[in-house]
Amino acid sequence: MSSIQKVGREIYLMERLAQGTSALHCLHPRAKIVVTFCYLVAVVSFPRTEVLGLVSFFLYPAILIPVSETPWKPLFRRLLPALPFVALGGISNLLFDRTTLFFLWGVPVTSGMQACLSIIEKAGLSVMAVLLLAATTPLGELSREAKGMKFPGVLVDLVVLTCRYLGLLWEEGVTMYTAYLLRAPGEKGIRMRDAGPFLGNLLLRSISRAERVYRAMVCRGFAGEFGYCNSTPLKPGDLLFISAVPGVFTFFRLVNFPLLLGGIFV
Amino acid sequence: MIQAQNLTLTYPDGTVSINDITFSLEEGEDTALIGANGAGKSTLLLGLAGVLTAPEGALFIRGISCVKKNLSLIRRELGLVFQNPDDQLFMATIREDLEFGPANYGIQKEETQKRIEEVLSRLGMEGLQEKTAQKLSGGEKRLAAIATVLVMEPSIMLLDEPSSFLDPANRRNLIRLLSGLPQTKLIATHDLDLALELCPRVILLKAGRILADGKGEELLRDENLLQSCGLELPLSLAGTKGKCIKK
Repeated sequence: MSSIQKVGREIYLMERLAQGTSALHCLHPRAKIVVTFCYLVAVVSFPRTEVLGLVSFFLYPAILIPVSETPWKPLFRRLLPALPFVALGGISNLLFDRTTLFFLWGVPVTSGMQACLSIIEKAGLSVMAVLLLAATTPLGELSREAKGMKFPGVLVDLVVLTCRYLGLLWEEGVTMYTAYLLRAPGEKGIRMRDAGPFLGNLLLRSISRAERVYRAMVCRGFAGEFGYCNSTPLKPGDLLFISAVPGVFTFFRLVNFPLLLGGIFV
Repeated sequence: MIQAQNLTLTYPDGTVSINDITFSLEEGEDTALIGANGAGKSTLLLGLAGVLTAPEGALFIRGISCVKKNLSLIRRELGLVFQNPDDQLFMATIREDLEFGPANYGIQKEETQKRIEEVLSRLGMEGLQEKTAQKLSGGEKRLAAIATVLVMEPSIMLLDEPSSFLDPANRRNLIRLLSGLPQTKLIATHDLDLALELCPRVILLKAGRILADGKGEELLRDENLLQSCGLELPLSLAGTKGKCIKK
């Protein structure tokens, strides 16, 4: 499989995963959105140098990934590109905050290091929670519930349309790339001198295709905003999920569980 | 159902694609729109659906004037099936594609589900709801594209080259399906055999104008007329001598 086809499989992977039938998939999308939001608030609310307290929050993805039967590798692959940006943000703490807190095997551990590690932890946990939400809830349902919860409709539709456009761009790219390789035997990719025309044509073709898709949407009543069928009501299981899980987050936020455990055993 | 009087359709760059045509379509009068590439068949269908720039001349769909403020009503009456089903299947799953149209018109979920079940049952597509369009064969995509329009319960179906991308077996299934649909159909097609089989009336377009409009049985036997428009006799009539009938 060529690299461009692998990219396409990745683009559609989350949508395929979201069609699953695990217990987590069957929960109401609104319940999952609310719990994910509570998780993000809990994680982000920790002080800037908190490291140990965040460890408890690894339990959430660690439990939900197997429960949702989601393969962990694709989620981690999606997490990795975000980490360098996060690390860049954390580096400023390393450079400017050099107050030594303690020594670990002779190496001074500064509050800047703690802050950097905390940033990486928070970012990793937050991105993983959102990826889990995307992997267990179809995009259409997420956008319907987001609108139902009064998120700005324009932003929600923008996200949905951007996702659709990326898929369309990939489909056109694969067709063009395949045609290119069939007429360039021995080449492993697009030659540098062909890259410009290739990308230009790809853009033109994708715009043309997007226009045709837009016409099809308009012919079926699209008037600038996605309409959705009315949502189903929340079930007792959903209400239990919404009330119990954020309760656990609150407990872990207020009680430094790893420190407590460490205190018991040391 | 459709009344067009001195209709002219122009592309945004000023190119006139449909030039001063007049025709009407009555309820139940299934009609084929034939012509060479570039004759204006697809453009006419898009124009009837109000997708192109505002038409010049008069255009009425079920008595509703085709002006901007009425487009929502008109598109509820007209179901346009595009030539390439990939342009029409743009949601994550077939089920979401089927829900898209009714949701835009505020139809309740229960009613939408009922319609979806009816349409899928009629098309024999019950197992395809949760599939993505990428996983479907050409024939299945065509059926899914038709289903997305049928679920909106239009009174008029506009079909653009419905038999393209289909193998003979799927083409035969399509003809069987279309002949059983109660909606009035306007079918733009190069498949003259399909036109002969499905449509009692044929409109022949050339360079954006109507060159002939009459009974399919007669018009499609006029070899000279067809050849003058870059067409040939339907395969089922090839080898037979046609009468020369000019408008």
